[in-house]
Amino acid sequence: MTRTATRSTWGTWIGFESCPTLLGRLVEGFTGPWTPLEDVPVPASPAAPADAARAGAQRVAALLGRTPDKIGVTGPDGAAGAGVGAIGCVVLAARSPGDLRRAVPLRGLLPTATRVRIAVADAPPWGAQPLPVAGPGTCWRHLTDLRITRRKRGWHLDAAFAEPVPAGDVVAHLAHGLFGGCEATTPVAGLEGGRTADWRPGDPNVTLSPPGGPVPDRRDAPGCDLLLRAGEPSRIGEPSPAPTPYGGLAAGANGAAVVPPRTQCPAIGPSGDGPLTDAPAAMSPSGGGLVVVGAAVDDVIPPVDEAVVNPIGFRQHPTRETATLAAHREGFAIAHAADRLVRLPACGRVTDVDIVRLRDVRGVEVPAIDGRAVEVARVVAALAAAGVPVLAAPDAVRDRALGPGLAAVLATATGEALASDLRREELSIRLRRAALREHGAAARWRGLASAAGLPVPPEPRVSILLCTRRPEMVPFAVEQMERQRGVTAELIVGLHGFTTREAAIPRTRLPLTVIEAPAATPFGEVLNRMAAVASGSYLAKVDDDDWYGPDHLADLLLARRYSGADLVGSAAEFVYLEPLDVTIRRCIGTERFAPLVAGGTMLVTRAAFEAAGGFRPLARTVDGQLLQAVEAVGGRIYRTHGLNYVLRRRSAYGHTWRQPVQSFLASYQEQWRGLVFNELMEDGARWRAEVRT
Amino acid sequence: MARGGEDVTGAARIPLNDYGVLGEPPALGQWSPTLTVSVVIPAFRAERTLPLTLASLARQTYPAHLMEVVVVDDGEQPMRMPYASPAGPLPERLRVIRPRGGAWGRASACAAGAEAAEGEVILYLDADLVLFPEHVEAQMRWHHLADYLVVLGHLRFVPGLDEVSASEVLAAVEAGAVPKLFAEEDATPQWTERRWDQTDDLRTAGFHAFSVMVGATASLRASLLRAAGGLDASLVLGEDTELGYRLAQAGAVFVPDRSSRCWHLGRSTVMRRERDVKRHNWPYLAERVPTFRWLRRHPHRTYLVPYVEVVVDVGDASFEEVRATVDAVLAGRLPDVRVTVVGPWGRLGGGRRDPLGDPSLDLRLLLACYQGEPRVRFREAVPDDSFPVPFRFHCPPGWVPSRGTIGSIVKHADRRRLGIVSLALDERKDGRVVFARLERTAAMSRARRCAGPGDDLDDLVHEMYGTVWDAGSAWGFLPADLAATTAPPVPGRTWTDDPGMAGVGGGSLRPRRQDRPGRPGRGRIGRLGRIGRSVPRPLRRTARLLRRGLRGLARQG
Repeated sequence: MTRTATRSTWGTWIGFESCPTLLGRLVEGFTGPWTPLEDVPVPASPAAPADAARAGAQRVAALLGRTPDKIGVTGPDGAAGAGVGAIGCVVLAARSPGDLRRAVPLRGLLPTATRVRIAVADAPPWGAQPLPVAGPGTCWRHLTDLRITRRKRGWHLDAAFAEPVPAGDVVAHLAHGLFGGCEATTPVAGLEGGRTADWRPGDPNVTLSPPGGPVPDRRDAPGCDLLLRAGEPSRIGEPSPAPTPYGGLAAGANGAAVVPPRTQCPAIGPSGDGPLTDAPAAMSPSGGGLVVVGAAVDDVIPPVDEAVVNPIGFRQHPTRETATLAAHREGFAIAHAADRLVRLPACGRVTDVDIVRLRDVRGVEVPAIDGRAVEVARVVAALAAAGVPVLAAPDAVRDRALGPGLAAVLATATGEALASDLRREELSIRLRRAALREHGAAARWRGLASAAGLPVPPEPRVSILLCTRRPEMVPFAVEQMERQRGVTAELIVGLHGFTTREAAIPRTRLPLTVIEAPAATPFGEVLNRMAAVASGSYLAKVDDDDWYGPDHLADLLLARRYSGADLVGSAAEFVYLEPLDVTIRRCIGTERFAPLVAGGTMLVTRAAFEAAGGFRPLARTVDGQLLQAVEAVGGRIYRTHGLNYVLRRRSAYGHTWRQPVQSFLASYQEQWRGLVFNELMEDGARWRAEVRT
Repeated sequence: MARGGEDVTGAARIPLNDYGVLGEPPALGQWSPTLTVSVVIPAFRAERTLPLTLASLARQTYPAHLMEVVVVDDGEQPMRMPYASPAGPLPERLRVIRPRGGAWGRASACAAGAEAAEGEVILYLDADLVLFPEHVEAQMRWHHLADYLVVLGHLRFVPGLDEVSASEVLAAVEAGAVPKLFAEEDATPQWTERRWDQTDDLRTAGFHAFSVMVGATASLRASLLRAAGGLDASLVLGEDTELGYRLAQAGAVFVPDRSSRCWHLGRSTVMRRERDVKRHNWPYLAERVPTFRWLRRHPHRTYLVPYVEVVVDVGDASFEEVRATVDAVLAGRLPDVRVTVVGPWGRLGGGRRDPLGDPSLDLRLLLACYQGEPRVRFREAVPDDSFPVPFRFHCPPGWVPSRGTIGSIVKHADRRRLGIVSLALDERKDGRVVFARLERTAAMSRARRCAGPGDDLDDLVHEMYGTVWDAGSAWGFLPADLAATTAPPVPGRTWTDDPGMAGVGGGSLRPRRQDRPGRPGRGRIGRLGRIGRSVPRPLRRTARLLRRGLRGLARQG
């Protein structure tokens, strides 16, 4: 298998635009030639994703200057030729795990080979280790050797197979191992390959089509629900782009035209040569012979891949002052004084390893850079999504690309706000909310789909489990949940030891279910009964006497999306010590994977909750036991920021768990007299009166 | 006399010494004064300059009907009354008094003057000053803003009457040309002026503002002076600094006013004989001003005014519990403490009793236990305040501070400029929190001054100084029984170790470790370890490296 290895090694890279020299010394024993993965053309012939591998091999053969049959690509009958003459080795170099995710939708462009080497040059410290998760398909059945090696800050995977396997499958399974099963992004997209991969990071379920060409069909189904076409780079900022042959409208270099093909229409099918119109038209379910063209998306920047560019690793107490973004060669650089922290490519793409280098700075100052506002917008969106505070000079073009929500938050950022660590974190949280909700890949595709008139699946529902032993706390607790915004929720109230008649449950807009349980029932069992009647995809446990900010649940859902964890929760950073009338902020690391979260903030997927066996039927420590169980069955727990939650440590008052009040004081970072809320708690004054109840 | 605004001025809440919250005082000549002032001038061998001072007082912009002048004649013989042979104009209301019954010295004279004074404000003046016309007005405008201010005038030293003739000065006073009498740049500033410059006119001087209190020209409310106990007549020199200290403990704020100007004719004693003055004053001040820590470097001795008063309320605690606490306090590295044990001592009769079955046996044993200890005193009730002791530390019986605890907490309170430091020790089943608490006397006094009905003193202290809650364990507090098992509370070598510090979780994650008492287990390291404890951080690191190196050598050998 190795005799032709040196001759038939084919190397491709992704993500090294800003540091090409790194590529040369990355893979031992291979110095080139390298092909940029984004430039590998999509084969013109219709091919399903798996078949595309073979087609890719043909392309590669052409690139290598050989005929396909000489390098062992077989005919259309689908059986790959036995080893002789096949591509010995495919080398994929990705600069970061984020770039690896961008390679996933392009997996069809990689040929089959008996040896697959994947090098990741740099990886963030919080990331998982690159262990492939064997998915369906044949490739791992032929595995003969697998070696995963740590190389400086990156990783190197070397897999050998007895038969040639699609290298793209190895890439997809490796990404799955790195990032877990992030939920699929809907709708199913068609990509033109190349740069459009930015739009669908980490999605193995895309259909590639040649530029301007037809979308290949899938088995008994059209290739995609929504087709994405790359625009011409020269068109930046031009007011009225000309329609492409397919009818989509091109946007700038970062932009793309979105075209929903007539999915159920055989007339256009793979060839895509049906009649065209260039205005949005109503879409009928049967839609015979009609092609509907989506609206042009002018100045829209590619989405931020929230699985890699996210607040994980945020530092509450940065050690360096504000850095500045500036144009650098054809791309950008972010520098702190003379120290260039990060170089970015011309398109303004920011990856996870760039964010890691910016974690120590207090913020990033972004000036208006003439003529490159859209690229700068892309940088700003990514920084904001990662929670890196941005101080941006006003720029109308950039702000239009960022959208009104993010631009509004951006306008509130001031140097003074950044000077205080708490104010800085508040700003960071507001920025990341706006950025992830407007520019996150999932949110972006929902927006594109609904703009194109495609049905959008409903937001997942959160079932709030609120169990209390104290009738007098019910109105307070219900109101805390009533003011949750940005989520679809239902409220399950568990009355533990009293009945509906003894409690005044206030009217609420949330769908309400009440469960009554006698006082003798263990707390955990009451919660399980409540979970049993819950209808949501997520269960959120809340406590009856703690304070919750209005974005508590929305932020937990956001954290779940970017972390991919099975259970997310906040840190109980802010604690009101009722016996002392003091609010403290404790020293708890947040925005990281950690085994413990505050019991009153747990949000768990229904699947993980069931996999963990639910709550244990105990009277106390049910939260801790659930966390332990989730971890034990292999679930991941993520702890997000604690600014939406204030734990109330009561004086002599029966509660399920008590920690001595002095132990709260053993380590705190800040302290306030009385009950004090941070700004994200909003309208905290209303709740102040409740304290002395 | 309109006393309007009295209750309002009391409510002005000034943080530390930052009187900027009062806003700019009214511009000179643009406001309507209401307060009466008594100018008190102690006069000793001042026959030549006093008429000039009085003449400049007669030419003040402050309304004459609100001002009286009291000259305290402190000479061996009654002086020839200046108004008997008027050498110049005299203030409208002028009295000359003699200190009573053989009392002498500046402090006695000032005390006698204050006693005779009828004004709401007392302005002390030296008898060798020539005042600018706005001198009194400039100081008085502050007293209309708040009632706990000490206002300091601005003076410059100029040549004495041997160089400038009295008639020339008098002519200038009468012509209203005092400012032109001397050139500002030729005059020598007082030593305090540099401190004004360094601290934004004392706004940032914090707890040390009082040390620039100089009696040459200073005014304050008579009520404030009374609250601070007046001048200490037992002092001959340095009485103004000592008064400043006590005023600070009474909650006073020190306000220098650069537009309250005057010329000081001739040089002062401090200028002429600075070393002698210091040599004289320091022993007196060391006894009376505990916050001058550099005057109290002795490791063991006690002083007239202790640094910290530790209050132990017996309650229903046993003899052993109280003794453990008191002993630990007495064994602390801060010797400069007084322990007040509060209990129902009056209940103990001297009558016949069963020596071992006495129901009040624990109280009796406590009295017996500290008979010979001058630092321990017994009181029936917790005193209202510990004035003039600068700190009071409430320590519940049965809880044992480590040797460094009290000193560290006081340092912490100074560094963070806190008024109250509370240490949570334990939480009882009924929800009551057992805590120790350090109170800064100055902060408590000022809070009392500012408190309206229904105000919580702690809230006021928090607003003006800051308060903090901390964990007792992080500061080296242990329950007595636990401390006893690790280090028995008997005098002797064991006291050189931190009692029971080993075994405390050590889980302190606080960022400022230098505030902390000795770290667990340091005592065992030996000589270098002990050096490490008292020296600053970089040296400590050197000591550690040195230790490691030596250990490495020993291993090789």
